[in-house]
Formats: sequence, C-alpha cells, structure tokens
Amino acid sequence: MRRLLLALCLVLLVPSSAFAGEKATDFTLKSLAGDNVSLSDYKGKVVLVNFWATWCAPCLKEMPKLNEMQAELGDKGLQVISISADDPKDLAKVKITTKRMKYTPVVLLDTEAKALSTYNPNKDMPYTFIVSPDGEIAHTKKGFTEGDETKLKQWVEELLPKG
Amino acid sequence: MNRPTLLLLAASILMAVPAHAVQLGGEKPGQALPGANLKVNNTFYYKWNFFLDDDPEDDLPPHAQYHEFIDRIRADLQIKQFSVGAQVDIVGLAPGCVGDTCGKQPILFGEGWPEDRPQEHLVQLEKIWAKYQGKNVQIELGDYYASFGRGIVLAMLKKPEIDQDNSLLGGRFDLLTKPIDFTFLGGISNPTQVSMELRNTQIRNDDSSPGSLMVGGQFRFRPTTGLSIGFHGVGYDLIEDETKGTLGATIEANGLAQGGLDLFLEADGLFYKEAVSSEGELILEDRTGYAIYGVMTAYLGALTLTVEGKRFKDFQKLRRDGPVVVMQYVLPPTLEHEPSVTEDVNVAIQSNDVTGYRARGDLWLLESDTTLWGSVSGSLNDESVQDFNDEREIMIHPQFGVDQPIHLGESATLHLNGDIGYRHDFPLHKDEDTSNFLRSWGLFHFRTDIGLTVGDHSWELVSTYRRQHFTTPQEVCWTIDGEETCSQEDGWIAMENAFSYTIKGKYTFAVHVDFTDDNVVQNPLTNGAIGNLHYDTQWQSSAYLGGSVILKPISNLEISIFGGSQKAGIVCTGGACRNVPAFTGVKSKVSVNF
Repeated sequence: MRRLLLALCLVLLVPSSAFAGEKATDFTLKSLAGDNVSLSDYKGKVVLVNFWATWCAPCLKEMPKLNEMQAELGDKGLQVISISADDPKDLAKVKITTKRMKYTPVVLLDTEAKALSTYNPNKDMPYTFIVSPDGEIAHTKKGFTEGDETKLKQWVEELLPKG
Repeated sequence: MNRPTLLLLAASILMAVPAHAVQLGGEKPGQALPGANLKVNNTFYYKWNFFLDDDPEDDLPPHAQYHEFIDRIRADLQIKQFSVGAQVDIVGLAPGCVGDTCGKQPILFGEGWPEDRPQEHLVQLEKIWAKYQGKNVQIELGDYYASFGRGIVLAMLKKPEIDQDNSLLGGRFDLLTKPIDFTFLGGISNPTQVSMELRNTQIRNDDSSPGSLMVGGQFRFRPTTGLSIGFHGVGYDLIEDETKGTLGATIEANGLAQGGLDLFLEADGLFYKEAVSSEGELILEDRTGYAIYGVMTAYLGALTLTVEGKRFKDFQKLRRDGPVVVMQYVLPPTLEHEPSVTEDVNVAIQSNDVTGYRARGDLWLLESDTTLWGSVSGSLNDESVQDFNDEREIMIHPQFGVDQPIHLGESATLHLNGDIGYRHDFPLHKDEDTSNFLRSWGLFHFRTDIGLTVGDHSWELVSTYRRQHFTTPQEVCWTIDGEETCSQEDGWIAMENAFSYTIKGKYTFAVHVDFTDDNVVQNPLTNGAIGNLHYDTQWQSSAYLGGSVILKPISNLEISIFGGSQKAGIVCTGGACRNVPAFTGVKSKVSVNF
C-alpha cells in the first residue's frame, strides 16, 4: 500500500508543461439536426469549444458573447462549437435556448458524455478550451463572469492568421 | 490519528499540490511516445465534522466530532485516438479531539451497507476504461456511459444533481457514418458517486445483489437531410429471474415548414414479468407496458413555441433498489421544472399511469435584449395504490420567467433573472377509500438572480423561496415546547440565499443563509447514514448560516473552503431522488488538473 501511494505521488509530481499545449483529441457528436460532427471537421481553424447546459446560469450569460464572437471573427477563421451537456430528457430545452437567442455557432449534443469524459470529466459548467489551427489546445477556462469575453476574444485573435 | 491514516492523509495532500502535467511527447521527431498525453485530475476533500448539541437540556452529549478525507484521482493516458484510464478513491476517517479528550475511531461503512465493516481507510478502484475514438468507429471497454432516444429506455449517465455516477462496465461498439449509425453495447451497472459528499460504498449494491446486466442496440438512419429514423432495444437484469426488455423507435424531423418547425416522436414497449399469487403460490406472469413521448418546436420570429406530451403506462419498472437510493436505468422527460419541486416525491413524475403535457413560449425582444417566458404543464396521474402513488390526481403548474441584462456603460452590467410559479395537485376521488390520503397539495415558488458586474468585480445575489401547503383529511395534532396544536393545514417553507463577490473571475467569497421547517428535509431516519443531521428531532425550524471561499488562481487549480452549517435535503431529478447530508463544520476541496 505504501509503495503504491509513493509511486502515485512520484508520478503525479513529475514536472512538465500544463494542460494547454496538448494535441486535442478528436470526438464525434450529434448536431441538433441529427448529423455526426467531428472536431477534426474544423481542422485548420481556430476552434473555441464551449461546454454548457440549460440549467447553468453563467453558461446562458456567456452564450450571447460567443454568438457575437462567431459573427465577428467567423470569417477570419474562428469556429465556435457549443457542446450541450444536458441529459437526453432535456433536449427540447436545448433547442428552445439556442433558437430563441438566434445562436449561430455549431451546437452539439453530448448526451453520453463522450467529449465530457475526455475534456471535462468533473462536468464543470461552463468550460471552454481553444484549439489552435495546428490542433493543439492553446487555452482552457472554467466558469464565466461578465467581462471574461474580452480575455477569450484576445486568446482567439492571437491564434487567428494575421492580416 | 493512527499511522496508516496519517500516511493516507499526507499522500492525499501531496497529490493535491498543484503540480504540472505529464506530457509524454508531441508529434515531433525524436520523442519516445509521439502524440501522447497523460491527463490527471486530482480532487482532495477534507471535512471536519462538528456535532452541535441539539438539546442542551438533556443529559446526552453530542456526537463526537471527526475528520474525514477523500481523495479522488482520475488519470487518462491518450495516444492519438486511443486512451486508457482509471479513477481511484482513497477514503479515510480519524477521530476529533477536544482538549485531551478524543472520540472513538469513526466507522467507515463497507460494501453492503448497512452491515458496516469497521474500517479506518479504504482504497477503491471506481472506474476503469479503454477507448478507441475514430471518426467512424468507436470502441469502448470498461466503464462507459450510454443513452438511447430521450432517455426513456436507457440513460446510464453521470447525474450530479443526485450525486450518482451510473456507468456500464462492459463493452460498446459504435459505427457512425453519414447515412447510418449503429450501436451495440453490453455491461453491468456500476453506480458510484460524483461529488464525494457521501462515501461511495453507500450507493454500491450489496454483495448479494450484483449490478444489472444489460445488453442493447440502436440503429439510426437518415434517408434525407433533417430526417432521422431509429430503432432500439435493451435487455435488463439479464442474470436475474425478473428479466425485462424494451423495444422502441424514434423519428426526428428538423427544419420542416421552411426551417420553422422541428418534430420528435418516440414510442417504446416494455416486456417484463410480475409476481402474482395463484392458488397460494407466487408465479411470474408476463406483462407489457408502453411509453410515448413527443415534442414539437416552432420558431415564429421572436417567439419560440414548444409543446411536449407523454403517455407512460406500466413503464417505470426500469430501476433497482439500492441500499440508500433507488438506481434508475433511465431518465425520462418529466415535463416538470425540476428545481421547483425538490424535496417532494413529485408523484406526477413517478407513476405507472401518467399522461401529461407542457407548453412553453419564449419571447426574445431584440431591442431591449429581454427574454420573457411562460409555461404551463399538466398531468393526469391515474395510478392508485401501486408502486409510487396512493392517490389519483391532476397536476397543473404555470410558471413565468424573465431574463434582462442591462448595460450600464462600457464595463458595467446589471443582470436580472427570475421566475415564479405555482403547482397544484387536485386529488381525484374515484372508487377507492381515500380517507387516508391528502386532500390537496400546492407549491408556490420563486427564484431571483441579481448580478452586477463592474470591471473585474462581480456581485451576485441568488434567492429561492418555496412554500408547500396541503390539507389533511383529519385534524393532526402535535406538540412543540409543551404546547399542543391541532390543524388540518400543514406544509413547509424552504429558503436558500447566497450572496457572492467575485474578483477577476478567479476569487469568490460567498455567504449562504438557508432556512427550512420541512420535516422531510430534517428527517431523522437518515441520521448516521448520510451525515450530520442533528437538527431534526423535533422538526424545529432551522436557519443555516455558512460562508465559502472559492479560489481559481490558475486554470488548472480550484480550492474551495466552506465553514458553517448546510441544510440537508432531498434532491430530485428525472424522478429519482436522494438525500444530501446536512453538515456543520469545515470542509474543503482542492481540485487539480495536471
């Protein structure tokens, strides 16, 4: 037992870089229209992936900001993907929420926690990560308070092709 | 604390230190394991449980205080599309001391609760998995989550609202292509916990009742854009006498009427056996049940209109009893606004004969950025003296809400959000003797969320209020402080208020003030099983005052500390409910992503 714990401690304390900088693992989820959509479909773009849920009040405050960002930077190479972590029983609410706010980013349904278990196993909401055009995770962010959109936009713009 | 406990505590604290990631290589020449990442999340919980003297006038001393720590490690090694991982929990307890006097070593409940096995600590492998996630083919072995359709026949998922992490331990194969999807899965239910508020061992099945073996499949095809047709089937409890099975179909059409209308319909049949008495002997007879659920969403400019309907008959058999909480294999649409009906059995959801609808309209006013919504749900629960209910009834529940951000300059925003509603259950007295049943039932509720942000500073006040009222057939008498009161009217009030201040989205300071006089919340029956419920014995009104600090200095690290009292309660979602423990003392959580 002591050896096991010691080994665990040693493994976990190995110094290295942070979570950001990893290659993003691909996932395939259903869109609201029922199609299969993969992260790799947007290879070469800056992809902002945002986990949200209809029961998450900060998420609903963040989504209009992401909507604006997609409208402003979509032509420059940004793709926002919003992954709903709602249970299958609540999918009607997902449609209501996204339709009523005229939400233009891609909305995917992770009813079986496939992307969640890879990127956000604690189901923290909202949770955002930004993938660079070469497929690396450049930034991660948990939670949202008003004003955070400025930081998100800055991160995205740093990754977008210049000019 | 003895030596092993100290060792575990030290190891857990070490592991909670914000260390760095283990990157085994990028896709660069000369690296040993190209494209490999080891992700580790470590969450360490520490609780110092106080027990106040609930009645200072009696001779009984309060429970001895004790320390409790739990460490959860989740490691996931990813190499391109492959990943392997595991989740391990380490749990330990130690007696608390006041001066020179220490309590006894507290008992850690073992598997098969309530037949506890005294233990001081426990190391438990909770989940283990291996995955291949290709673009068209996905294979999962070990623990995985699964749901079919709208969760009516299968929803083995993580449910944080009720602190259940229900995975299937087995294998799963998915084929995903543009025109068709195919899924085949099999496994044994593996319920564990999400938040560690309760210790894992308490929701595990006991030794004599292993998990449910399930096998299922789903086939979906898309003959044209926007149209999806699916078929699914699941077998449950396949290693037991009372094997059950479901067969069902779904049809989903999106973008009808020039993109202004979406439709979804699901129909399922349940085939099961039920024990009936025949000539003095119990025999198993074949039975069938069915479920139908549909939803239509129309987009009419600024107005979004949704209508849902369901009809369930003898369908809520897809569950198994557990030592503390019922485990459901499913999570069907409830047509209810769940946060408003917690701490209530919510009969309209749990019923073997229920028909219901919900209509909801959302209006978004672009000019003022205002969202107004209203909904009315209604159900006819026609089950009596069966699995869940002892009274037929009609339920009606209107609700209204508003969301309004107000921009007060370049860096200041005031955000107002709130809803209000009232649910009433009208009993239907048919042929049965209903003399023992409640006559009527009502729940008034409202919630407000007021947030103000100025630059890097945010303040938020969230308040909820619920008042339940019911009338009993006969007068009920009770005594409090020697004074007898008799009435046909009864009910409870519950309030939760939290005021928080956040700086730069990283540092949050909060004060919580809760109140309840609900005898369900303060039920003494859960004492000992789920924590420190010491307010309950006389069903007295109780206020709960607590404070918390949440620190997120860097994106990989979260530290939270809570001190004070926390209200116990029953939390329900999707018709499954469980108790969460009351607590007095100090508890902390450190969560690190490596």
